[in-house]
Formats: sequence, C-alpha cells, structure tokens
Amino acid sequence: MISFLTSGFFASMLSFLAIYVALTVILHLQANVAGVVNFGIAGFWGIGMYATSIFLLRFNINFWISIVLGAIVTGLIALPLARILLNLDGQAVLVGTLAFASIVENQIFVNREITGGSRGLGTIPMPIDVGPYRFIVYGLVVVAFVVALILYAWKLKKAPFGRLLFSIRDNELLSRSLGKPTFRHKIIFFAITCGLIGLFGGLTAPLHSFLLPMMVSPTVTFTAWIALMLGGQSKISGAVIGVLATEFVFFYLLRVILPLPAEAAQMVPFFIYAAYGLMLVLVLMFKPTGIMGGKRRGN
Amino acid sequence: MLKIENVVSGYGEVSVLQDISFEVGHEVFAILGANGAGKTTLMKTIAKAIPLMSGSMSFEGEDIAGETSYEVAARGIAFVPQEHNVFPTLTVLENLSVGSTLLDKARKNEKIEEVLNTFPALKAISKQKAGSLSGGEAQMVAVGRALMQEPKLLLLDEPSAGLSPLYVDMLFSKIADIHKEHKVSVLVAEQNAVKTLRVANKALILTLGKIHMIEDADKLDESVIKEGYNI
Ligand SMILES: Nc1ncnc2c1ncn2[C@@H]1O[C@H](COP(=O)(O)OP(=O)(O)OP(=O)(O)O)[C@@H](O)[C@H]1O
Ligand SMILES: [Mg+2]
Repeated sequence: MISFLTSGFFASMLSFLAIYVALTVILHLQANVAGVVNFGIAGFWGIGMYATSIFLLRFNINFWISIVLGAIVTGLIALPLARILLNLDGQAVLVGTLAFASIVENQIFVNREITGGSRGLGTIPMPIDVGPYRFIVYGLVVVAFVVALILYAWKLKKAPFGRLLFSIRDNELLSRSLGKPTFRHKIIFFAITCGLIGLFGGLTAPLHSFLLPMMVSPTVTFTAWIALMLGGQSKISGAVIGVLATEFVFFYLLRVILPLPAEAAQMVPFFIYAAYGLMLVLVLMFKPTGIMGGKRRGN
Repeated sequence: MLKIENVVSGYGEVSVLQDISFEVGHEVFAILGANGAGKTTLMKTIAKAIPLMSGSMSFEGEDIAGETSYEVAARGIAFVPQEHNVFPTLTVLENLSVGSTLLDKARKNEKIEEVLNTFPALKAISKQKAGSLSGGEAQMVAVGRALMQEPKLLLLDEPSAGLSPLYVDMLFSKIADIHKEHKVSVLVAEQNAVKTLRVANKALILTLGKIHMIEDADKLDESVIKEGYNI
C-alpha cells in the first residue's frame, strides 16, 4: 500500500487531478463570478507551462521563480486580450478565447528556436529532489497550491470585491453606476485569474517532463468545462466534485481497473469523449444545476 | 446643484432630446411627460448611461459632460433605472451592500441599518434573491441600493411603474422623507403627474423630446399638464 502511495503512478494521478481541480475552480471564478466565458484555458495553461520551462531550461532560473514568472507572462498576455474581448458579448468572448488558444498552440509549434516546436522541450526535472519520493512530494506540493487556490476562491466570493464581480455579471450596465470602474476591475480580475491558470500550467511542466505542442490542445479546456458543468457551476465544491467524477470514473476506472485488451484500450480515449458528451447531455437534461446543485447564478 | 444646458442626446445617430436646459437645486424636481416623451433618455443622459451628443452639464459647479457613469456616481449622483434596476442573483442585503462600494466597512453597516429603517419591509426578505421579489419590493431594493451610495442627487426613473396605488403613495412619501431627512435632492421622472406633484417642488414637462414648460409644482394644474401630454 505504502509503495503504491509513493509510486510515480499514484503521484502523477494525484498531481494531474489536482491541476484539473485548479483549472476548474479558476474557470468557476471566471465564468460564475465574473461572467466571462473563457474557452481559451488551454492557451493560458500552455503559455504558463512553456514560459516556465523556457525560463528554467534556457535561462537557468530556479523552478519556483520560473513558475511565478510564467504566471506573470500569462497574466500580461491576457490583459490586452481582455481589453479587446470583454467589451463584446458572451459568444464573442467564447469564440475569441477559443481562437486565442489555437493561436498559442500554433505559435508554440512554429517558434521552434524558443519552444522546441514539434521536437519538444525538455527535460524538466522534478524540482524537489528527494530521491524516490520526489514524485509524491511534488504531488503534495501541487495539492497544497490547489488548496490555497480554493481558500482564495472561497474568500473572494464572500468579499466585497467578489460581490462587485457578481454585480457586474448580473447587470453590467447597472454596476457601472455604482461608483467604481467596473470594466477595469473585470479586466484585471480576468488577467489575474489567467495568470493563475498559467501558474498551474507551470506546475504541470515537471509532470510532463517533456513538452510537445499537442499537449496544449483544446482537450484541456473541454475537460475543465465538462467538469464544471457536471459538478455544478455555482459552487466551488461543484468544481472539485466535477473533476473527480469525470477524471476518476472515466479515466482511471476505465483505463486502470477494467482489464481491456490492447486494441480496445487504444479506443478508450475516443470512447471517453463520447461518454463525456453523453454524460453532459444527461446532466443538462435531468439535473441542469450539476451534481452539487444549487441555484445557477448565471443568466 | 445640477445644471444642464442645451443638451442633445439620443441613441446612435438618432437624437431624441433637443436643446434641453434646466437646473436642479436642493429640491424634489419632477420630469413629467407621456410615453416616449424622452424621460428615460434624459435620466440616462444625466447618469451617463448614454453619451451626450452636445451641450453642457455640470454638477456642484464642476463640468461632468465628459465623465463616465462611475465617475458621476462617485460624485454623488445615484441612478435608479426604470427597468433592470436590481442585481437579480444577489440577495436583498447583497444588493444593498454592493451599493456602497465606496464606503468603509463600519460606515457601510451603519448605512444598511439606516436603509432598512427607511424600508422596514426589506428586513423580512433580506436573504431573498432580488430576482424573486415582487415589483414593489424590487423597487424598494433599487431605491435602497441607491441610498447606500450616500448620494447628493437621486435619479429615479418612473419609480411608480407597475405598482399598486397604495404602494405608489408609500413610495412617494418615502421619497419626500428621504429628501427631508437625508438632505438628498431628487430628480424623478414620472408619468403619474398628480401623485408626483404632491411631493415635487418643481416640474419640467417634456413633449416629444423638447421642454414644454418648467414650472413650480403648485402652479401646475390638470389642464396645463394635459396640454403638455398632448391629450
Ligand atoms: N435604445 C433605444 N434606441 C433607439 N431609440 C430609443 C431607445 N430607447 C428609447 N428610444 C426612443 O426614444 C424616445 C424616448 O424614449 P424614452 O424611453 O426616453 O421615453 P419615456 O418618456 O421614458 O417613456 P416611458 O414613459 O414609456 O418610459 C422614444 O421615441 C423611443 O422610441
Ligand atoms: Mg421611461
């Protein structure tokens, strides 16, 4: 049992689950608190992951400083994008952020001198070198980051700033008459939360250890969205439960526990996406507020 | 305190208001007019919800013509729109609380007490989502939220719309109280001339986007108003 808990496999499973919980919680903050429909999560996450690795490998900067720099780079890129997009309506934001993410993927592919392009970028070592325990120790560090994020999200929703964001999402025109530059607040909040996505992108780099452009695919975005819809959009616990439900049931249960023959196992990823879709349709039909329920705060 | 001169405004290229000039002092000032006369357009222009096409506007002697909605709000102009004037997924208390983004915490709590005393009916529903309130309750929340801004000038766009006569009387007497007790000037746009003139000192009658007349409230009688309403 102990050897399973300290194994690279368990550590990797734990770390990836934690990363997806983080992405979904941030998505919840953007979509349900600030009312921004971000379909470019993969892009911001990818910028953070690549920027961190570039600072680490090409400039020999310490890993922990690199992830902070990666988060700042992500936030700074998100800022002008938010200025352009957030004035537009929800659908335009959706399409704009989705397009942004595919531009990011493409740029990683094209700028091979910096990113390694299709040859990849690596190797990113585990940042805490404690011999065989380095995987699980790092996994626990990632979990600690996610716990900190959840506490921040939880406090924010109760704080006056959170209420101001809710009011913007509820009725943007009216919120502009409250005496605060609400649009500026919304843009800054979006940039900061995108910076956080970048931070978790940076934390993902050592888990992949070798980066390829195809990792920055919309799958990351869709997984977070599906988890959020499934868990219930209005609560932080919904984001957590949603990730556990989708990732655990579909990914680990199907892949690990069911003993499938090799040919069938290759089909599993495709099956998972079909099942994701089916699950989403069923949830929207029978429990549109998600597993954790609660009143939807959106319009 | 609010001075408007030769204001033209409207939507897109179309101007609705023509050459509007008037001044609001420390008083309850009514904007009267029939459906489509331009009352809402005027209120939105003052609150900066729509841009000014030409003319000048000043508040307490300072030019506000080029300012944004949050800047005039921060100066002390609180706007209660005719429609969509609450935050539907926030509770009554949260609606009030978000109104006072510029106050510190202690002052905010005092202010909430004050507003709940002005509208005691809100106490029982303070945890309810504003989107599920009746028209009258929502109107009280909207006015209460505006009071949370500690305004010097309160802009009310048709506060009586859709309310029963009893509620309208209650609301207008509250407006009179607010003016007296909180030393707030009130600019109220209304179709309901008779009830409005019971609380207003002065009235401006708008007809098809132009000023028909500006007169002290006690000098206005039914026949004059009917003329202004084109009936
Ligand atoms: N968003 C808009 N775009 C274009 N024209 C508009 C818009 N809103 C109002 N108008 C026009 O401006 C004119 C004045 O409308 P306004 O809403 O100011 O009238 P009102 O006096 O408030 O009427 P009511 O008593 O029905 O509220 C009307 O002719 C209306 O059709
Ligand atoms: Mg109107």
